[in-house]
Formats: sequence, structure tokens, C-alpha cells
Amino acid sequence: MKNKIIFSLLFVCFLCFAAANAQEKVKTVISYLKLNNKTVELTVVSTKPFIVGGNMYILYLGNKQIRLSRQSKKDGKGIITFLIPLDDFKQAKDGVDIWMVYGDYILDEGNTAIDFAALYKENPLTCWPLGKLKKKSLKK
Amino acid sequence: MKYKKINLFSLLLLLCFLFISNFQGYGQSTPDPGLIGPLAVTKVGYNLGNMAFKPPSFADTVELRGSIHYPTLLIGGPFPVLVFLHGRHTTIFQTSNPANDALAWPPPAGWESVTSFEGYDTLARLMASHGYVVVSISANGINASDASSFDAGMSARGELVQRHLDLLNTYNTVGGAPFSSLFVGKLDMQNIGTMGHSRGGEGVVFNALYNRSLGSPYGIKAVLTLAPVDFSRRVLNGIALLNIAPYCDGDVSNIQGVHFYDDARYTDPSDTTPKFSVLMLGANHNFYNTVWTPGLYIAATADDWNDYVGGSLPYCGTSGVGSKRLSPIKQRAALNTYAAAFYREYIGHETEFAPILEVEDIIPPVSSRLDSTAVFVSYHPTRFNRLDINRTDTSIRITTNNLADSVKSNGLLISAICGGGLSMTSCGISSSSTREPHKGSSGVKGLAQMNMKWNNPTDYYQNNIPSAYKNISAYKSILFRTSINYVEYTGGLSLDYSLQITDSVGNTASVKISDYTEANFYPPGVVTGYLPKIMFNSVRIPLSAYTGINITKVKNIKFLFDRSTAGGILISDLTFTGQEDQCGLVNTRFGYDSIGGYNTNFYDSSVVTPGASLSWSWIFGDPTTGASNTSTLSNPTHTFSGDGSYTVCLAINSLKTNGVTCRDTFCTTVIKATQCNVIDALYSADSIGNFDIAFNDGSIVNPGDVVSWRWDFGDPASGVLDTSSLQNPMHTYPGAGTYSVCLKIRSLTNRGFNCIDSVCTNVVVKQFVDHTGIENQDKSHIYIFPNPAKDYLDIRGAARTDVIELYNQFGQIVFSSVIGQSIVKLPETLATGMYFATIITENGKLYKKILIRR
Repeated sequence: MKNKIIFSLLFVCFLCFAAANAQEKVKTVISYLKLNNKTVELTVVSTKPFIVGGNMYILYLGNKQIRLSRQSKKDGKGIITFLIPLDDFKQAKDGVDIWMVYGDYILDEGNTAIDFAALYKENPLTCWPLGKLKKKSLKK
Repeated sequence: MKYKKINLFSLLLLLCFLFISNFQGYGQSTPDPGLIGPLAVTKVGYNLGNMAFKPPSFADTVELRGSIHYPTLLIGGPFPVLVFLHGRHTTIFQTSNPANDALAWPPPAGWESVTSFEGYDTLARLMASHGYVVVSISANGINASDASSFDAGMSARGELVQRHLDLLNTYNTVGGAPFSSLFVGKLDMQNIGTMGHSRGGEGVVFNALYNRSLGSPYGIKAVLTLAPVDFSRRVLNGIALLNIAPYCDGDVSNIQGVHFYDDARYTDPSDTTPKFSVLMLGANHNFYNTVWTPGLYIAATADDWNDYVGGSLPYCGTSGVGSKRLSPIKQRAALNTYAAAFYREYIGHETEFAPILEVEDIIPPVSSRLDSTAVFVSYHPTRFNRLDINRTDTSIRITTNNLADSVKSNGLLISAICGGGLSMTSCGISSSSTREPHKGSSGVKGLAQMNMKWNNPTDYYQNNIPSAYKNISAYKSILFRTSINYVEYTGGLSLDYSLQITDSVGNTASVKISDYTEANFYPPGVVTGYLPKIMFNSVRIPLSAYTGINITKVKNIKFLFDRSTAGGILISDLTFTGQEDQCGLVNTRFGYDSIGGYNTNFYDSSVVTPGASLSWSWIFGDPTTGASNTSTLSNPTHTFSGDGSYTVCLAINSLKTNGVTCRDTFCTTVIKATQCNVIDALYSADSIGNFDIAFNDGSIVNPGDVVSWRWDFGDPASGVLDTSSLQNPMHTYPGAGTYSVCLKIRSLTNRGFNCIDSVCTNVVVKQFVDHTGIENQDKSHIYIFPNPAKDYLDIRGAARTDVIELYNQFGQIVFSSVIGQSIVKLPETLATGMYFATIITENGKLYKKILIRR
């Protein structure tokens, strides 16, 4: 009995250790939405720095592309702030899916929408789902 | 037993023979452009500050910093110039903790710049060893904030390169800190090549267009885009272009750079420059730059495929199944070799490397460290060097080719023109450009192609040739681009088929594609979303392979799918090529000579096609002179309206006897100033032995002027020795003949004004009997013994006050002495070699050739 208890305790300890050392999943979220003059700044923060490379970060509000951004890094976190013209922000529908993609993916001829779910499945390291647009969270 | 051994040996011999004869391929006689050159190299740097320049189209101020690799001795010149522009990368790191890096500019205290511009040093050293001055510039200030720029900073990159070209021009004309006069007269600002990596690739395209918009003050002749982006789809025509595409690019994974090639093919009918694209299987984005490569720099390095896609994934992952990734050393070697081939041909005019990029020699040079399964070239000849059979560029090409004759197919399961985007249907390959880089983007179409699928050996695709074009004897090859369509053909193996020509009486000749190319490979790798990729590569079949037909009466060209039982391919750009580049010889140049006041004589010194009818069109950049601002004479005189800087251009139309008109233009700046009126370039030439000519500067300048000289000996075959910056150089010509020799002088006056004048005259070179101490002594009262000499010269017949000077083959004086006693001791420092002795007497000079043997 005593041996069984010791073995069980050891097993539980092992599980805890394994859990504690399991690779932490990268989290990428919209940090804030702020109106700055006539530009809406949508900031995305990640627990891992973003790639600094030749390709382009593109934010999709539904199918609307936003290409202007600022990129930085702080305390090991990656930060990208997209600069959305106020008019484009107003035209975007509340509740549309927001995606961020590293790379300018071409829409297939004849199609008008990217299958983001498929893209995310194919490119999990360079495609990020960011939830839905909540216009009421815009800070002025 | 002995019988069995003999049979085994014979079998091995037979197998070797079969292997060799099975792959006709092309010969490996092409010289290797990637071997280090003969010149020693020095590297220097300049840094004018982190906030030294504000590009007009950019919100922020950026640095002016760069490195220069150059031939150490800088003998002769001016030298062609290469400018490298790196791409977007982390810009700064903390000195005490390099793992802490950032995308910001300028570096704050305790931080320093990531020196991305130094990542191409091996290529820079290689090119400098062949006589180039290579400048690599820093673009961190742009990289730090280009994401918020309207065009991702591309205009700013173009302006930054131009600013550096202006700086180089200053170093070349009047000199400046930190180099003083080191580069004065040494930079050929009309013979420039550029290279841009990643965003730098689109940046150098922007620069070439920007330079053109400014009136082409600099002669940019070759542009290399290295794993570039192409966000804006600008098209560059009129300049030789090479794009390098790494198959395992994990950053620009849709290999956008293919658009630079595709878009430029047929856009400008007057474009006389070729386009190239080199696919490097196994290459990633970052390894071309040592500063971006893990293990080679202390901060912000990455293996883009491993980090952004996955290192354990097949083919491109370094730890993936069947990994074919190139090591950093191999990848850089490959870049260096193909870049060298490109620049040495299109900047250095070393045409012996043409077969490498023109798909005539598909065996990669040894220096590239690649084999023929790892690198593939696309080649688009100039319009003077091809006859387009079928461009596959519009839907109508499925029935009617570019020669206005019919197109037929038989039995094909798929036979369609597709892929051009917008109004043209997709080939149905992939919804993502990552798998199909040639795809169009919204607003700009992609590559249109012929899509074919077969499953029967009698299936074929045929282009008929009309009688007006039946005589193809002027051409050397059939050329087309192709890729396996991995969606329609999933067999995973290379494909083979025949290319058949039929003449007007029905004779046919076929060649097996696999005898001449390995470009029908199955696109490698299976990585969801990334691999395989459709990448078009050129196939070139020599017409000499077709025997038994009359190539002056060709009726049709047929793709006969009689080898692989089933398959699917895409093709484009079917053409005949290999005709002599009729306009390649045309090279417009001119000189000028001030003849008093503002009057200037202009001399046409162009190289043109023999027998062509010429017409000249001069523009003197002096519009206030009205009709006199132009001329159609070959050697006009122009009276400038006053002091100023004038851009003078000469355009030559060269009408060949076959009706082809070649056109080339050359512009240069002519400075006129009152104080320059006295400046007059003059020289004399003396024959001093065999075909050796000594040139003596006799120019008239203002007293106290700082003068520099640029000689052009009219002997382009001598390469870098065809020019000199010495005042009194010597040149050895290859043989007797008449050579157009030009001297251009720049005279910097004490008021800081840069006066320029030039003179060109024809120098007649004849065989010269060598007046040595042994031969022809009766023609001179001065004799020099012994010859060859070792430690001394015995000079008989000279006066005690006469002077002997010895010059080396570069025209540099290495020894001088008053003769005094007849015996003149030679310094021990003189190496074995041929020297030119000048005896200066009261009655003039005497020239003798002396061989010194130690």
C-alpha cells in the first residue's frame, strides 16, 4: 500500500512537471482600438515577436485589406498597429471576422473572398485569427 | 574467368558510353564567372550620419552609410560600379545584449545598427577582384518605418540609391571625405549595375525608373532582383534584368519576383534588353545575406523557412524528410556565380558567359556548387534575337499563333490558354499564389500559359509556320518555358516528350526533350499551402539536333507526347532564337573638344554594325539656341549660349541591310565656363615597340589647376586595360590597325570649377621594329647592353647629362637616373619583366624595350 501511494505521488508529480514545461502556445490578440485624428489604430499584440522580413502584414476586416502599419517589439512581445482610415472603419460591418496575414495572398480569379479558415490551416505560423470587429470598443 | 572479367569491363564501358550519350545537354566549355579574379581588393566604408538624408517621399530621415569594395591599386579606370541594397530586416540591437533587438531608428545610446549592408561582402569581393567598384548601402532608417509608408518605402529606397549615386559621382569628380581624391576619375557612372534583396529588390527597380525620370544622369545597365517583393507591379524595360527566385523562400513565400520577368516580356516593343530568372531549388530567403544567417552574425538572424513555415517539413525544412536545403555557403556561392555571370556580361561586356544565362549551357559552373537538378534558368531574348511562334498571351492563341497561322491539338484531355488573370480563366491550379507564383494579382494580370494534359502517345500540340517564316536557318534554337502541372499530373515523376519539326515536303525530325533539359522535373516537396510550386523554366533545343529536314522550309512545330504515357504540362513563350543579336554591337559614344570660347566640336566615336546606314540625332541641352540645339551631322559643332552645365545626347539609328533598325543613345554632361575656355585637351602618341604606343598629355589648363585624365584607347578587347587615368600612359594594342583614342581631362580650377574637355583622334598602329641593343643599332647612336639585363645597363653613345627612365607595363615610372658613366646600376627591387626605357637627350627622347631577368 505504501509503495502504491509513493508511486501514485510520483506519477502525479510527473504529470505536473510535464504540464508546467509543456510549450506555451503563442497568443495573438487585438490589444486595443483607438481613434487618432482620422485614423483608427488597431493594435495587435503577440506573446512572440512578429517576423521582421520582406513581406507585408495585412489586416483583413472581412475582405477589406488594411496595409499600413507600424511594427515594434517590447518585453519580448510583438506589436503591430494597423492604421485604418476612418472611412474604411466606418464602412466595415460590426461583427466581421478580423484576420491578420503575413504575405500578400492573391485572390483567385473570379473569387472575391479568401478562405481564411483554409489559409490558417495551411499557414498557421503566418495567419492569425483575431476574432470579430467590435466597434463599440473603439477608444476615442 | 578471364572471359567474364572482359565482359564485365566491356559492360561498364558500354554503360558509361550510354550514360554520356544519353544526355546531349550542352557542353561545359563555358568559362566559370564565379572564380575569384586577378585583382587584390580593399574594403572601405563611409558613414555620413544616421540622420543624414531625408528621401523626398518619406516621412523620416535616414542614414547615409555604405561600404565600398574596390581593386586595391585602382590602376586605369574608370571602373564599372555596382550598388547593392539590402531588404527589410531588424535594424538595431542592444550592444550589451544582442538578443534584444528592435525595429527602430536611429539607434539610441547603448544600441547599434544591424549592418545588413555588409551581408553581401563575398559577392562584393568577387566582383571587385574582376575590376568593379562595389558599393553596398544601408537602409535601416527606411526599414524601421516603411510599413506606414504609402508604398512600403519603395520610392524612398529608389531615392536613397540615387542619393548614394550622387555621392559616388562627387567622389568621382571632385573627391570628398572620407576618401579625398581616392576615387576621382575611377568610377564609370555610365556603367552601373544594381542589386536589391527582398524589399531592396523592388527598391532597385524603383531606382532605375526614378533615375530615368530624372533624365538618366547615371547609366544603369543591369538590375538584379534577389528574392524580391513586387508589391506595386512596376515594369522595368530597357535594362537587362535578372531575377533570382529561391524555391524554399519562407518569407516571400509566393516568390513575387517572377512578376518582374513575366511583366517585362512583351510590354515595350522597343525594349532591346534581355530578361532572366534563375530558380534555385533548396534556397531560402535569408541565407543570401550573411548578416541575416544564423551563426554568422550576433543579432536578429533567422532561417526563414524553418522559422516561418517549419523546419521539420519535407524538402525545404532542414530537418524534414528529403531535405534539399542548401547550406548558407552553397547558397551564397550560387548567388555569387549567377550574379557574376550577369554583371560580367551586361556591365563588363564579357560575352563568353552568355551560355549560362541563355540556357545554352545548363551545367552550372563549378563555383556555384550546384548541380543541374538544383538550378534552372528562364531566358527572354531581346526582340532582335527571337521570332515569336506562340506567346500564349491571349485566349486567341489557342487557335492562332503569333505568326498568324493555325494552332492544332489532337487527343489532349486539356488544351487551354489560361492563367493570365482578370479576363482570362485560371488554370485551376491553386487559390493561393504561394503555390502558383506566376498568378495574377488584382488589377495586374499574371502569366498566361498553355495548359495541356495527355494520356496517349499520339496526342500532340502543334503550331503551324506560315510560308513567310518557313526559313528558320538564321536561328540556332527553339526556346520555350515550361512547368509540370502538378494538379493535372500527380505521378510525381519527371515527364518526357518529343519536339518535332516537319518541313514542307513532309520530312520530320524529333528530339527527346530530356536529352536537352532537366526542366521537366516534378515540382518537389509536399507542404500544405506551400509546396509544390509551379515555377516556369526555359527549355532550349538546338536546331542542329534536327537532321533530315529542310530548315529553310519548315511547316510546323509539334509537341508530341510520345514518351511519358500520361502527363500534364504548362508552356509559354514558344520562340525561335539564337539569331545574332543584331543590335548588340551598337554602342553610342562621343567625345568633344573645345575650340575657343563656347564653341565645341563633337566627335561621334560609336561602335556600329558594319555596313549599316547611320543617322545621327544630337541634342545639346541648350534650348535657348533654338534650332541650333539639335543636329543631324555625325560630327557637329555647337556654340553654347554661356556658362553652364549641359546634358548632351547622341542617338544613333543604325539601319541594317536586312531592314532591322538598331537605336542606341548616350548622354554626358558638358560643362562650359569662362574660366574653362582655356582648357584644351591635347595629346601625342609615339610608337615605342611592336604595337606599344606611349601617349603624352599636352593639354592646356589654367596654371594651378588640379587635373585628372581619362584615356580610352579604343581597344575594348583589352578589358580594364582599355582605359587609364595616368597622365602619360602606355598601351599595347593587339595588332596593327586604326584605333580611336580619346583623352578627356577634368581641370579643377582654383575657384572650384570643374572644367572638362576631351579630344578623340585616330591613332594608326603599325608593326614596329624593336630597336634593342641587338637589332637595328645602326639606326641610333645610343646603344643599350645587355638585353636581357640583370643588374646593370651599359648605355653607349649617350651624354653624361642624359637621363634614363624605366616604365613598367602599366606606364608607371619605376626607375630614373642621370646616365653619367655609361654603366647604370639597376635597383634590386625591379622584378623580372619587360620594361620600356626612355633616354631623354638634348635632341629629344629615345625609346627602347628592355627585358630584365633576375
